[in-house]
Amino acid sequence: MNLWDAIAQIWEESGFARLLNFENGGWKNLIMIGIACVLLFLAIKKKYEPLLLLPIAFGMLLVNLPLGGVMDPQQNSLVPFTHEEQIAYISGTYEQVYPVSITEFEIDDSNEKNIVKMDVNGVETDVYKSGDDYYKIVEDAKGNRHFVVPQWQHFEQGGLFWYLYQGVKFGIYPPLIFLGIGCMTDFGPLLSNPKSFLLGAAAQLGIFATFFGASLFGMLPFAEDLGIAFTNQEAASIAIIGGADGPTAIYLTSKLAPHLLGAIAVAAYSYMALVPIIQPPIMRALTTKKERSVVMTQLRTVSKTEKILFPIFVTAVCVLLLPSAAPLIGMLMLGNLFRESGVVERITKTAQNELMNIITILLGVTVGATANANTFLQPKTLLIICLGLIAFAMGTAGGVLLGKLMYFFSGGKVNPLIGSAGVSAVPMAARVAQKVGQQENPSNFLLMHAMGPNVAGVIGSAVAAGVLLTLFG
Amino acid sequence: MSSTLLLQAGNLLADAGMTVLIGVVVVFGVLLVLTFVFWLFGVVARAGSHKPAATKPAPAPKPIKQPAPAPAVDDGVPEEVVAVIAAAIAAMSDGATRYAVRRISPARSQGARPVWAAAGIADNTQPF
Repeated sequence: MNLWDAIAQIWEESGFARLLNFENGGWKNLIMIGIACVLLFLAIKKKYEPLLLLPIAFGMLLVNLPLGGVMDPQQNSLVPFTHEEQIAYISGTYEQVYPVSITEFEIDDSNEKNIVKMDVNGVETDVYKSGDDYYKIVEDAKGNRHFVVPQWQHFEQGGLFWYLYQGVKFGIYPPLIFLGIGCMTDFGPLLSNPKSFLLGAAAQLGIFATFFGASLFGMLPFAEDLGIAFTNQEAASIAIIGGADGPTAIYLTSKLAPHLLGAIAVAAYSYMALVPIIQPPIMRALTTKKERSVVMTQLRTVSKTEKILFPIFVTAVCVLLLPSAAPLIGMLMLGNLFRESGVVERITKTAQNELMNIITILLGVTVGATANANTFLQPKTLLIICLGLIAFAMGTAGGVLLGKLMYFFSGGKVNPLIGSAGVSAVPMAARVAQKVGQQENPSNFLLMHAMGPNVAGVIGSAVAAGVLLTLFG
Repeated sequence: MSSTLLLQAGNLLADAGMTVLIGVVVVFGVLLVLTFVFWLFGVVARAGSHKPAATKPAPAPKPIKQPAPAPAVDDGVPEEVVAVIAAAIAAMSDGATRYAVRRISPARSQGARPVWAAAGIADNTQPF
């Protein structure tokens, strides 16, 4: 082999050659790398949800570099023994290289004729002959004879992200994120104004309205051809984007439609980052200047006892009514109990800092790594992004409209803007309500009032996910 | 459109509609139960802290004549900081006294360390 041949071979075996092989789909990888770079730009330069968008984008970049193999699954296979290994196995002198898988088959009248004699270590021994292969014969406690087929258990190691992804696949990471969120969340504003729970529920209307819309795509005559006829599981996973809660969206999608995980995670986190752009026009369109200017009365002080009892009662009520919501609600409330009890400060600190950060890294890169070219570059993805926006907008509208209803029935004491914070997106959605309210009346402070519906939205979206999981899981 | 297709579309609509109905009813139902439970909490908490003889009726807050002008915010001060400062002042207010934020600017003089950097250094060096 001369130098040029060696260089040509190295080139042909490199990722560059695969990437530039357009006939073999290399262009798809190039597009995905471009999308990953755009997301990296948004995360770094524009600071759009950088804590999650950055690892997601990098995971996406890494998985779309050909031959990297970071997301290759582990391959398990059974390799038959060679003739020499079978003889060694019968005589008990074989050398174990890999773990051995044993399968036993009963010997009856139909296959008894295959038993032959063999000289094993100088002793005439019955063995079972099948073709050129010989198998050891054993007897069970009842005296029935079986022949033993040994096989090597061989496995090829998977890619790093494939192993890390198991935490998403088995629904481990999102509840752990919820544990950290629980440690960081003060439910005081919600306790001082329990009506906020209803605003958190109203903002979940976007989820169900979008589920309805996504299901209807199946009625289109060309839906099957374009691959946009969503199953109930897919429609539910898309709709949950409207909850504006990343961990919930990832949890539900990993259970119902794991092949859509990349697209749904990117859409969910992108829209959460765009809350200050998406929500204000909807809030202004649905409210009058007078409604936006309402100054709400100060919230009552909530005692420590109430704060400690809150997570226990919420867990009991939600899990008894909707058991499938137990992992999310349970971990959220456990984290909150850590915080409010005040007796496990070390655990609280770890859960809301180190643990949360570690899980965020693992969740981000592995979810990004599910967005490979073949699953991401489909008409479905575009539709998911559009439907996600609709879900988000309708969730905001649902919250504001219920806020208007409360404004009406309370005689103008409730500012409808706080309803928009019912979509989770903590605390961004509450800050948006504060900002829009202050634009009308600079002396108005809606932040703490909006935090009530905001944290209620977290519970609401977990309950909505539980409903969808019960119906379609 | 054939009658089979119409039937399929009808079934699809009915299934999706039923899911929406179940979902909305359950979400509102669960959160309604929680609203009631924590409203009861509030009632009990208020009853427990009620002192009839000692308390005086709180003076009615003065009506707001006109909205205060928005505070002047220096370049580089994020909106989050303005919101937090405003909320902190509102939380400390007793309702009778009104406060006005005229200006928000970073406390950084020539040669001095930014306040967060100083806090970070203090946090890291305190154990030593």
